[in-house]
Amino acid sequence: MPQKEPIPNPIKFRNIYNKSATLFCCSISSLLTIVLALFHSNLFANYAYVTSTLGGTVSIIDTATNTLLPSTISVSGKPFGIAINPLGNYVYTACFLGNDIAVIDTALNSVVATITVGTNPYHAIATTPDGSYLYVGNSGSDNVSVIDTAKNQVITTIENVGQDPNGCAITPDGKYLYVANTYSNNVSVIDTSTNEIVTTTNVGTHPHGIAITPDGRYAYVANMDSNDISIIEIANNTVSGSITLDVGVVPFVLAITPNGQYAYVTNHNNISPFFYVYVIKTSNNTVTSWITGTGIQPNGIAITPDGQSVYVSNYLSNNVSVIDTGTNTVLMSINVGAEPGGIAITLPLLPPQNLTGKQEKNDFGFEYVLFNLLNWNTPQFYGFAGFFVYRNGNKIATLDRYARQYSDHNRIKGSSATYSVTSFSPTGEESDPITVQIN
Amino acid sequence: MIRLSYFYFILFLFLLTQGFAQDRNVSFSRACSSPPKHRHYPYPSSDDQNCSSSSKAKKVQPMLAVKAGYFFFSNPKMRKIYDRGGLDLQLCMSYPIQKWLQIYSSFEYMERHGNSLNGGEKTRIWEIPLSLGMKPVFVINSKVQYYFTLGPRYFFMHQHNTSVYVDKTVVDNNIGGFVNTGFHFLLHRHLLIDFFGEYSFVWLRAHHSKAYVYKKTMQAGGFTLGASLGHTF
Repeated sequence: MPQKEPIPNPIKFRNIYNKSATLFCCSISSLLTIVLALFHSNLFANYAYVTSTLGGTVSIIDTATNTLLPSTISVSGKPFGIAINPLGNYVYTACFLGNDIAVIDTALNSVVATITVGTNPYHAIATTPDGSYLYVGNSGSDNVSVIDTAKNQVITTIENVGQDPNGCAITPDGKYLYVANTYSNNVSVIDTSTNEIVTTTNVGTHPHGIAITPDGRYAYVANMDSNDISIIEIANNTVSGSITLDVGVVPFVLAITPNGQYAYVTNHNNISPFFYVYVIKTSNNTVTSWITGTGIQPNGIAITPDGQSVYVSNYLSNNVSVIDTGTNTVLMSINVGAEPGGIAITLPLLPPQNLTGKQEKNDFGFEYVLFNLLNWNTPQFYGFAGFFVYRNGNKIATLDRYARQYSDHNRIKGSSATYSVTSFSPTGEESDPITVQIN
Repeated sequence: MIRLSYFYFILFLFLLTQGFAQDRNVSFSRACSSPPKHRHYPYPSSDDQNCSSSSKAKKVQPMLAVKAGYFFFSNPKMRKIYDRGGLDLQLCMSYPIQKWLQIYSSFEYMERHGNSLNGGEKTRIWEIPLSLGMKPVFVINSKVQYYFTLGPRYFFMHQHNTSVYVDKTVVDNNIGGFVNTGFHFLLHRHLLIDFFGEYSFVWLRAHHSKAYVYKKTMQAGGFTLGASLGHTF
């Protein structure tokens, strides 16, 4: 992929901190910590990308403010399915009539490449957790294209997946791809290391959407014409249960909350009063509520990484419904392009987790230096390019995304320091800091 | 070390017993006893005809030996840094000044590689000790002698650290001491082998340092176990 210069996008920053000055009496180090926190108070916002199949555009919603960004991205060929790579710097849309994938650079908000795939790629599009590969189900040619995202080239095509592969999902460990074959009434399980089908599991009638729980134990499959959800146990690839919905309901696509506790299923029936979204509790696989007030014929669904909001694109209402998962009510609707199809949300830029620090002695026998050793865990999601390390508010290191520790050498005996570590995105945005003090 | 000392002690007792069994007239105070006919270095057979202390002193011969041993630091921290011991080479010379006492000197070289504690950065140390000591020799029998040596030892130490955070080179020298002990096994009129154990001690420290580099005085001696091949003149 071409190298690009980071382009600051001021809209992507939002100031959510308004810390009052209640800590004036704290020590200097604590004060520095606060200053640092204020300095980093610009949270990394998440963006929902929505395809407009009729309008031939991709709209961008700032999920922090639920406002539509003024810029839309033109994509030809009737874009439907959409996926975002974990770093958040590329968006891929499956163009149903163009038989290709449009690659959108999120820094430029424009199509930078198109990749020809099979016939009629539809909703089935997913990236591996590390973003290295993109899988696209081609509903017209009944196969799956495997794309190397570094080269933007199809490296292989997986044939015989079943008829009309319309939904796909990848296990969190990236080892298996599950493809819902609508007119074969089954799900193909593909080993991503060999790109070969390892097994096929029969499900309900006309499966379409598919989602995998964050713990990687179950795949939920929405069966359009049997009014139910099939639950596949991934360990043995057998259907371990099903959830029957109301008669007349057409379960279309679904999404599972990041904590894995709830699944949200859209009902594709376009006849009133069927405009709602089902909420399923995954612990006992029962419907706990259904949400009315969405637009007509919900088509795509995505949940924010914090699990607080669900975004549903309504195909015949030309808008996106925003659902509060706390109350399971529709908060608002946002008008987007005509006939919105798929929707995907960028991963958050989270700070590193579990930052710890301690002072160590780098001992050579006759001489030694004191160094402060910082350790942290990677953020839960992959949407970061590296880490910044601060000592008492001053940036002292820029590390790549694989770094998990940092040693600050030649420390003065008896001195204390406050360290902060932040994640930064490919476009230069920075997460909240996580802080530790070493005495 | 306890096992090693135990081994030496048992070996010493064994050889001592063997020596007495073969030649009842040989003892630590053999100057006053009648020497055996077959005895030679460091008490040649010519002297055996007339066992007087003055005649023996004239005939005691000097010795040059090459020692090779396995050295390890006695300081636990130094052992952790230079976790694997290494080769210790010595060139030593003994010269008799009494019938049972020799003056001893040696030139030594030893080198170790290791990694800094907690930092894991490479470090290398080499030392050149120069020794001078007194070496009493006790004849056990015609083939075996026990000895020990005591004396001061001058150490020159050079440490090279592959780190940007500390001084790359640490150099110091000081006078410490040493003691070694072992057994000579006489193979031929001019040839012997020696199994020995040695302990040395010296305190060294770094002198020049970068900012926020802290210095320590360390015991840089240790233990050596090895063998030597000697030639008498």
